[in-house]
Order: sequence, then C-alpha cells, then structure tokens
Amino acid sequence: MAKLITVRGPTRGREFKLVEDCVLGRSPACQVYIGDLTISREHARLRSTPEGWTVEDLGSGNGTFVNDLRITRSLLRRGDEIRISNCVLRFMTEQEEEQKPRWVNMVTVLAGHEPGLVHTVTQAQLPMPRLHEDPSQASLRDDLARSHRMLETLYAVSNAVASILEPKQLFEHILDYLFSTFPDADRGFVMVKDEHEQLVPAAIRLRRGEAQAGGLVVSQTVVGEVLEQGRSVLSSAGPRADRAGTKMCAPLAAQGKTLGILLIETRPEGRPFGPDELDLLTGIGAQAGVAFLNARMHQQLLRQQRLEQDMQFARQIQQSFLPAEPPVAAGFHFDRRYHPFYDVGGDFYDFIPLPDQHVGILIGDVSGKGVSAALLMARLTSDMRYFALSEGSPARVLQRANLSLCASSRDNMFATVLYLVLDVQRRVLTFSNAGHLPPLLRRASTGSVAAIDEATNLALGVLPEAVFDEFSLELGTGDSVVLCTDGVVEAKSPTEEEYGFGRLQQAMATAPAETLLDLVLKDVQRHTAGSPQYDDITLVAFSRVDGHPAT
Amino acid sequence: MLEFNRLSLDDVEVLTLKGNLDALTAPELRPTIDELVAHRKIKVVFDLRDLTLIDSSGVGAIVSLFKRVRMLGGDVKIACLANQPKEIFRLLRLDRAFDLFETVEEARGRFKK
Repeated sequence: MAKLITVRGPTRGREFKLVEDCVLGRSPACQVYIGDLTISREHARLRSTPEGWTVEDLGSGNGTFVNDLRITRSLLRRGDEIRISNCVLRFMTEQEEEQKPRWVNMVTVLAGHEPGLVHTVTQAQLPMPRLHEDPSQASLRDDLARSHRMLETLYAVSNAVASILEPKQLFEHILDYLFSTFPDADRGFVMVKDEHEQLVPAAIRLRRGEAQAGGLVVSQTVVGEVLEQGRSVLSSAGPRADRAGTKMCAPLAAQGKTLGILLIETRPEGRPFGPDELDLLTGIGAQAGVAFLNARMHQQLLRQQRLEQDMQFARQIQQSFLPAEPPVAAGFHFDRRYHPFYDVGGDFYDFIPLPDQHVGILIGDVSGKGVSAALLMARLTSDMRYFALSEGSPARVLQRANLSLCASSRDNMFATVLYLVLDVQRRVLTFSNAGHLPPLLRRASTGSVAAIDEATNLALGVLPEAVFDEFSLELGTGDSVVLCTDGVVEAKSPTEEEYGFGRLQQAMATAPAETLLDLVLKDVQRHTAGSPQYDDITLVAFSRVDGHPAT
Repeated sequence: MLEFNRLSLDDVEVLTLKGNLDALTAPELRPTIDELVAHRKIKVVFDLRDLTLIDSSGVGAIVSLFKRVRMLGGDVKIACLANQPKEIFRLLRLDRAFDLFETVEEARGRFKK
C-alpha cells in the first residue's frame, strides 16, 4: 500500500492512500484532493506500473516537482517528495511507514547531576590525517574518508538549510539530516531560547513511533554545559536508569551566541556515539545556528512589513474620510490643516453641507492609535454625516453618535468630538462638545481670544445615558473660530514644555483670516523647534469675512 | 512604567495604579480587567493617588472595565485623582460617568447599600 503524506501545505499532516491510478488536484472529484487555488484542477496523476509507482504532470499551471526537480513523468522511490505549488507530499509505502519518525511535543529538563558525562568539545574538529605516516596505512585512509564524509555532510546541511526561512520547518529539516547522518540516532530534538531566554522545544523527532508517556527527558547538567559553556557534550547515560542510550548535545550557535541546543540519543542497546560524531554534530549545530538566525531575521522583517502595510492601509482609510476641500459659503472663509503622526493617530475633521445654508463642522479624536483607531474614526465620521443630516441640532447629533458608539465599539474605545453648526445667513454658531478641547473665539471688535467652555459634555462611547447640551453665539464681522486637537496644545519644545492654550490664543490674536492657520502652525513649529511630534496635529478655522476684509 | 496592585476588601476590589497608564502600559491591565469581569468582581475602586500620567489608551482601559462591570450591574469609582490625570478627567468630563472621591474609604463606603 502506498501513501502520500502532506509535509507542507493546507492539508499538512494528512495522509492520502493511493489507489492504482489516481489524480491529484483541487477538483473535489480528485482522489488526492487539495483545495488550494494555486493547484490546477487536475494537476498530476499517480499510477502503479510494472516498474513501480509513477507521477505524471497533467499540464498543470505551476508544474510538478520531485525532490525539487520539475518533471513531466517520474518514477517514485520511497521517501521522495512531490512538490506542487506550496504543498509538499512525501511518497511512502506501508513498510516504511512503520518506522516513520513521529513528532511529539514534550521535553522535560531534569534538574540534577549527569552521571555519564564523558566528552566535550568547543569546536568542530576535522580528523587530522597524520601526514608523516605511510599513506598506504589503513588509519590514514580512514581519517581521510571520515574527513571527507564530514565535510560532505556539513556542506549538504548548510546547502539544505540556508534557504529555509521558516524556523519550524528549518528545525524539522535539521532533524531529518541528523537522522540520516546518524543512523544510530533514535530520538532527537531542537530547543531554542525564547524572548525571555527560556529554553523551549522547537522540534522533536522519534525514530520509532512508540508512545512517550513522559516525553523526552534531558538533564540540566547537559543543557547547562551546552548553553552556558557553549560546549558540545557526549554523555553515556541518561538521568533515568531505564534510558541508558548515549546522548550528544551541541549548541545551536551563531555570531558567538548560543541560540539553543541540538540533542540526539541512541536507543539503550544501540551502538554508542563517539567523539567523531560529536564533532560532526557540533559542525551541524553551527550551520543550523546561522540558518536559524537568518530565518529569525526574515520572520521579523515579515512581521514589520505586515505592520507597515496595516499602517498604510489605516492611513488610506483615514485620509479617504477627510474632506478634500473646505466649503465655500458667502461671507465666510474656511480653512484646515492636518498633519498626521506617522503611527496614525485618531484625529479627524469634517465639513458637512446641510440644508438652508447651514454648514456642519466637526473635529474629533478617537482614543488609541493604529488600524483600530482608523477604522473607528472612519465609522464615526460616516455616522456623524448621517446624524448631522437627520438630526440637525448639535446636541442631538452627539447623543445619537454616543449611543451608536456605546452599542458597538470595542469596549476600550471612546472619542472626543466637537460638533458645530454654522447658520451662514444668520451668522449664528451652535455647538455641542463631547469631551473635546473647546473652540477658541476671536472677537474682532475687542481683539480678545477666549476658549468657549460652554456645552462641554462627556466624551462619546463611555456612557449610553450621557446627556448633551448645546450653546449658541453670534459671529460678528471679522470674528474667527479655531478648533484644534490635543496634538497642537501638547506639542513639546526641546525642553519638554507644552505649546499650550495660551500660546495658541496669542498666535491667533492678530492674524488675518486667510493666513490664520499658517501663522498658528508656524508658531507651533517655532515652539517645537524640530523636536519629534508624537500626535496628529489638526486645526480647523473659519472667519466671518463679509462687509470689509479682515485685517 | 506602571505598577499596579489589587486588593480585595470585603466585596470591593481596590486597584492601585502607580506610574504611567498609557498606550504602552494599558495592555498590562487587560488581564486583570478580564479576570475581574470573569469572576464578577463588579465593585471596583481605582486608587489613582500615584498615577502620574494617563493618555487616551489609559482612559480606554478604565472605560473598558467601567462599561463591562456596569453591564453586570456593578460600578467603577475613582479615588484620589491628582495632577495630569485629574486634568484629563476634567477635559473629557469623565466626572459625568464616574463618581470621584477624595479617599479610597469614601469610595468603598459608597458601595455599601
């Protein structure tokens, strides 16, 4: 009976029993069915022929590979790996399946003395041929042959593992190599240090598939010697009397650091390992260490790239919800500045055209940063547009937005929002504030600038039964209103001093409507003097410019 | 840096926060919040005497616990607000959601029927 065992891919771990003539593909009608879109509907055919099992590519899009060679038709030997797209399937026969190495996930490190510590090495040594001796001597030939074998193995290991960038897969490959290099190895495992410097099992393999009640056991003495001294260890006996095979343990080392350990063990009655084999294991440990370091760096890079993509996505969402242009209304001048912080903060603003020459003006800040903040901000902006049109009154708009946010947002999210409605004809401004910084009003008649603290209510998304009130004021000719987020008032100078409301009020005291925000931003920049910015900076301004031009 | 301490006094849980509760440290509070809710410890007092800084993520953590215990019929009370956190609570008008107290004893006392 022949089988395919999925080593890699969506069906990983699954076995497919092969009937005499079967087709592999992503069509559910296939005997070997793998539902992966990168696999052709009918990808390859497997047949039992008088010469043995064969695999044949059925004109697939991505090809069929046997042991990494692209084939149109190939005879299969036990252990051959068939790769189609991202899937790797190992061809096996029943006979071999009995000895199939099993993966388990249990390792115990026993504290205590290791009785059988017999040999340690710090660096892989090639057996040195004794050149002064007669080259016809058997011992020299042996040495040369061993040297050759060892170099060959190291070369093969380094070739095989250098390009594997997924740590788990890397370790499984390394254990494969250890088992083929050391025919007497019965059990083997790789342990690596996690971010807390704790040793955790990364891959484990048993040659015989016996159930391991207590898992693998290794003594603290061996582990300590390898980890702390960076030495490979050969030990004749295990910490348990019933487990008396020889053990070899080598550091997984790279750039002078020990990243983990490799350990293999013979069966109790098996031929014991010797010093030459310890040398070889040490060499493999060094190769594997470099490969592991590469794989880890690659993983970090991938994570970073994913994070960056998320951020970019969030930024796009956010930008798409901000109005492109400020509105145009007779007798008023609108302006805005938006400087997002790299990390994507939760600032937002909006201008909403309303019936009867009213304009809705919105500024807010969603708690938190990143993708979730951007999504909440996007949701809140569209909610606000809808409520602004259906409700009219700023207090009622915020009330609706609060209920909506309380009902559905993640429990640790809330938002501060300042919502104003400007009646362009009557020049009346009505607003309600949900925990946001108050609007700043500059009166042209007196030249005074003041924060309007009225109608400030609880932030949105905290308490469903929160009530909101609103406040109205009339705008005279030349009057200006500035709205901002805390990124403005909390902008820090090189000496960690916050920009603050006072400076903002001063900066807007005399500026003409058209250049008001430019002057404010310039003043903020002068204050920060190049210090890094930690939050979004958002400013919205509008001025009544009818009658005579503002000065 | 955030240090926090949890103390059960009768059926009231007192959480003492010391240091900064911000985007960096707020996630550290998460498991405790989950545990309180899981064990229906729904009477909670935050002792914020030594809290030096809070940002929106930090407020988010407290708001999160507040919303969840309220769903179970409980409440979160705040004791000993000072410095920057006091200012943030004022700006966000959080006094309209949370009862604020000068001392932990007062806050605890308010839970008694």
